[in-house]
Amino acid sequence: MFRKISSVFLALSLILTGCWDRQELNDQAIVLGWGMDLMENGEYLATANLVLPLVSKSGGQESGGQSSTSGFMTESAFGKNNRDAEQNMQRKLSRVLFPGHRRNIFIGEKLAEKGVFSIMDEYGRSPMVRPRSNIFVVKGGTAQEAMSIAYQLEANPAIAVQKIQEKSGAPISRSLLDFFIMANGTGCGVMPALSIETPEVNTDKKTPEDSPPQTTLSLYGAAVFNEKLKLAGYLNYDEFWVRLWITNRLAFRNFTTIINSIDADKPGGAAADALSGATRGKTVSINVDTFKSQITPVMTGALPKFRILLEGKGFIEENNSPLNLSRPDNVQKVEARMNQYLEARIKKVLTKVQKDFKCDIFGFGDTIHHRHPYQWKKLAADWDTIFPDIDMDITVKLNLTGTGLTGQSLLPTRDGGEEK
Amino acid sequence: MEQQQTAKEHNEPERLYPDLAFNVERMELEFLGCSDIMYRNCSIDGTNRATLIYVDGMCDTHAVDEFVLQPLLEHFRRSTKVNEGREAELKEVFIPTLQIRIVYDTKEVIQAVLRGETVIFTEGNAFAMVASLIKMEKRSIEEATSEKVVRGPRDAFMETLRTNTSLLRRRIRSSKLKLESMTLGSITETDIVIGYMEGIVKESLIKEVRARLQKIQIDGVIHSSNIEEYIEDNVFSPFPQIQNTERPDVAVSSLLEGKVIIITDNTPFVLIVPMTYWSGLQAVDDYTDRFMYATFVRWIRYTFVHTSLLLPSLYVALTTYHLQVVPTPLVVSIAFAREGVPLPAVFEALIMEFIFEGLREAGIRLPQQVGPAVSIAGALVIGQAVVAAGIISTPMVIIVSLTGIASFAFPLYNLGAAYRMLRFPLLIAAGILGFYGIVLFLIMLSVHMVTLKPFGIPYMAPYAPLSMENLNDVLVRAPKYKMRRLMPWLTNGKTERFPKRTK
Amino acid sequence: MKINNRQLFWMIMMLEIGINLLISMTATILYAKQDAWISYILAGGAGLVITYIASKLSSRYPRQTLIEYSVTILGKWGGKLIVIPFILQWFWVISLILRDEFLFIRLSVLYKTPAWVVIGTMLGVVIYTVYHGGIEAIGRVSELWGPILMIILALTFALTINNLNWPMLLPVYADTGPGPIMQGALAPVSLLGESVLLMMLFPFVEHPGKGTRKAVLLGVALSSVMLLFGVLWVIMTFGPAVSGRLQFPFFEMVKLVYLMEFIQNMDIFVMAVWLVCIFVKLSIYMFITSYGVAQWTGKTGSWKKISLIVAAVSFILTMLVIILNPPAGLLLKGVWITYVLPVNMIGIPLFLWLVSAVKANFHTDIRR
Repeated sequence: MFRKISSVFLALSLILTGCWDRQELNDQAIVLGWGMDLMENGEYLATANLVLPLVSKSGGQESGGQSSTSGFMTESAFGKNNRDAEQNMQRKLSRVLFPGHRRNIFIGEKLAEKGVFSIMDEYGRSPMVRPRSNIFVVKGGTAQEAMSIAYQLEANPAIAVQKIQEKSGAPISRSLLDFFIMANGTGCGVMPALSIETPEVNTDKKTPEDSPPQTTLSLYGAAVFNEKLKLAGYLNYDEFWVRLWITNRLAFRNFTTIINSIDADKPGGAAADALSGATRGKTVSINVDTFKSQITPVMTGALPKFRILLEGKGFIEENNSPLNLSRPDNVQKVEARMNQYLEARIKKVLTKVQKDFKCDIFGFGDTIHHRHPYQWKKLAADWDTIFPDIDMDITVKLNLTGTGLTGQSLLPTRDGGEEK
Repeated sequence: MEQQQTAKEHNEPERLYPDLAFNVERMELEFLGCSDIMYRNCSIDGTNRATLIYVDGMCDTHAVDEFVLQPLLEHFRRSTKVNEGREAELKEVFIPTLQIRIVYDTKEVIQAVLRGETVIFTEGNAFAMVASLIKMEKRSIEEATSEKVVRGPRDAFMETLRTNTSLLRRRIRSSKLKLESMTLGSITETDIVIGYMEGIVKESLIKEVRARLQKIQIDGVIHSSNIEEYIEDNVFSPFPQIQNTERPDVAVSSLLEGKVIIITDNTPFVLIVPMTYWSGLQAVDDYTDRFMYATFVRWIRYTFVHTSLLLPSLYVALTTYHLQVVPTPLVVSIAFAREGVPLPAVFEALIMEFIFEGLREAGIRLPQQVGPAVSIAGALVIGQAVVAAGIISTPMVIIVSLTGIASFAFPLYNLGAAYRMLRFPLLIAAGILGFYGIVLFLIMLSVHMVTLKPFGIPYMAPYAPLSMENLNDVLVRAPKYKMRRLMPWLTNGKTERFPKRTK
Repeated sequence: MKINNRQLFWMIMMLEIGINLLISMTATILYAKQDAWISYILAGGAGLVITYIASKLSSRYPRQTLIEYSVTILGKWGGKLIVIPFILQWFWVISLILRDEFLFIRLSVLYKTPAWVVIGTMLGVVIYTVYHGGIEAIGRVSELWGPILMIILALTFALTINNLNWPMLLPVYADTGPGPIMQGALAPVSLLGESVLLMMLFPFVEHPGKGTRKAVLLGVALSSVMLLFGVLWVIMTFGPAVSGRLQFPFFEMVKLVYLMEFIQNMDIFVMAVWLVCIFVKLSIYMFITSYGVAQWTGKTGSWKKISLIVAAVSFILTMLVIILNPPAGLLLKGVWITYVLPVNMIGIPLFLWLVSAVKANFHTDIRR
């Protein structure tokens, strides 16, 4: 009897006083994106991208309709740090900010230049947020500018950039985590970079239904941070894949090189010509979907050297050169040419990182640490001064496994091609 | 074990008298006000020589006419002496029926009349002849209504006890099938039969069943559920611990598994003890379908069954407590759908579940003519209108209807009822403590379930405690020749049912 | 009230995995860095040795609990005195587990719910189990949930496999050396060594003997293998530096599950089975504490009543621990590793074993 009464009492007291953590969906402002900017006076400006659930209801009778065109709003506030800004932002909001779905963080260029050290702690500490997030640097702009732009294909620009990032061949939605891990390794960090881009060619709207390209967000490449976690520079869209390949993270990528008709007969001919940025000549595009990298530190001599072997597997997707790809030796020529082109390209990026940014974003230091831990103990302290002068020996080995649906082009043979 | 009570009340059995008029008067006194008791006098030459007493509607009048009344009258016409008819003569020569016996005890006569037998008193004899010529109105054997099958026998138990036992005997032609009879209910005197397979069943189980049945002191047994509640181990449990079935094939397979069945007169539902949780989740079709498909269906059933318990509370916990767990696109679409709904999610769920249960309850009681109209109103109009008016959100309607459908995936109706009821406390737990509340509730439920021991057999057996050989009828449905073993808790050591298949 | 060997196996397994996954990893990785997995292997070995000693000791008195046979071995006063550390440990460990559970729940799911509710409800379920079902119910619940735990853990490991980066494990040994690795092993071994409570459970097993010993050792071995997988996965996902700084690295790792955009955040389901582990652990401790105290005071029959008192005391103790809020590191290092590990898990069982072995030899000598 006592047991029954006490259990009923306990249950009642729970029911009557309960629901401490209950938070109705209608009372929450779901944050999908979060931006931080540094103002002139040293204060931070936080911008939040919120889901706007009212749109579809006001749209008409149709419940749950998908017709919502802009299902988001942005709100901003000043603050001393993330939480302070959030507190201040709450003044303007009728619903509680809910950061549990904050999967995209934007950082203004100014803030990145001054260093992200002061704001990034919260992204790992708050129990609500998830470790699987994206963090972007907005190149040449503020986070607020980037977050205010409506995106046409998706209801929410925050989701849009996340999806753009997924299509870039980089690991999906883990740039924040990778930044933390890298910063703990050799001390440098990399974040994807966004930029706001106006259409290449402006086209006027002739009728209201027309939809010419608009100003939109785009993935610029990667932002490189030095060991003080300050922005050191950018790798653009044509360069950032180099780091991914070397660190074994690239998932897919198209490469295009120029093969002049003269070169067709002498493989490995004027490779420099292809790299000169000339738009003349005939192009070949390949799609590579399997990447492998092998970094071997060579510890002879005063300074370590690195042998980098990069392998890839792919197939030819476009061939505007007169090469007859139904012949295996021509495919090998493309391979050789592509290897040359990529080696040069990678070399250029490596040099840029070594000389301009002076930070080891490729994990070379970690490789020494892993392979030669005792030598590393001597090198570790001044790795950042050693790194810029290290020699790299890059070898690219592509393996083209196919030529697409056609061997020889469907077009008739062109100038410089083989007769048969 | 027969009528201990009556024996106690009357130590001296009340004998009949040779005087016919006295005996008839005694009977009339007993059945005062019973308009269905009929008296038929056989008067020859103005003197009443014999009286027949029977219950109208329970007596086979044709047979009585032909085999009792006619021979008796003929006999009386031939001999005019009053007390000439001797026992043997009367019984064997003059009344040529199979089921006749001589009774000397008044009480017994009364019992016989109430059973529907025809009692013949004769002048000058201190005994009565009881002719068991009973013909009661009964329906014919019909298809089972609460346990439908796609493939399998169509016959079902019915209200008549002996028909039911014949259905069993027809299937098990073995003298090992024992059908012990007893009577329960001080007023109704209902016949009960305990059936078991001698040699398979555990002796202690049979003894336990007998003992528990004998302990029952009740005025009347109206349904088998009356017995069920008396012999159940834990009445304060939402889970049924005694299985009921109206299918003879289910009863027979339970008998072969070493279980005991209890057949109650006037109830088409036969009780099977002991029940385990898993036997409540096994349907007849599992055993008639191909075994791979049966395993697949069984897993679908397990999923649905547990969904019916968990889905609403998970929805409430995830949307009001742990929003970060739901995938982002889903959160956005739920947020769109929920916008403007005034009720908190818990109440929304509670109200919708409540309404659903109400519709279900009304649906059972509805007269057949109005049934479709009401269910259309319930399902379509209310569901549609409530969403259109923005009182309930669309996801909630989906959740509730899914739960509703899932709760009918139980092969055993009253196990489904247990889960349907448990949904509500679980919803409240989820409303107070979110997922933490759900987990605690589930732990408590599992503790309760493993501590249940109907008739000494663990309720969750053979999964917890584990018996590897028996899992092939729980996690999968193995081919018949693989399911060779009985549960060790149900036997006295020998678990093998039949030898291994030889190639 | 009997359990069988298989149930004992699952009980030991869930008991070992639960809290170990939560709290020992960070401590180990802080010391042993990327070599934490070596620490875990060492810890597993040490745990097996501790378990072996305890079970060997219990096998000598298969019908008696620790409280009873300590009296048999050392006489009335000595026997009663030597088990006092155990009784203190049990009380203390219940409140410690409850506190850790509360901290974790507060950080991961319930942010505002008051402490007494989180602890009270858990304690309520535990006391319901102990009072209503005793050790038998605990055994069966572990048997019921154990395989589910295994499936969920295996699923977690399988789904996070594409996050792994095995060079994070390098360099092996070079950065740490034997000192840090051993030091790192202390935390897991002190938790794996909790299997010494089998000394209280032994007489409840149906046929105590060699099979029981095997079941217990297998439980410890398998749980240290699971923990080894856990720590390998954590290091390969986060690297030693980050995972040493995370408070609950295993659960952070689970949060990274990402498959087809839709299957993510398995953490809540892992949390569910983890809670079951914690529940099993708490109920076992609650049971042996009540039973032990009952035997110690000589009123074995009234252990159910004592369990209510134990529940009340541990509730108060837990609330005290939460209010005073001593640092978690101090509790684990300062008390658990410095006192409980050497005294309760190694010292006393070994001592009792020696005395009992010497006594037995002495007796046989006399008989000869």
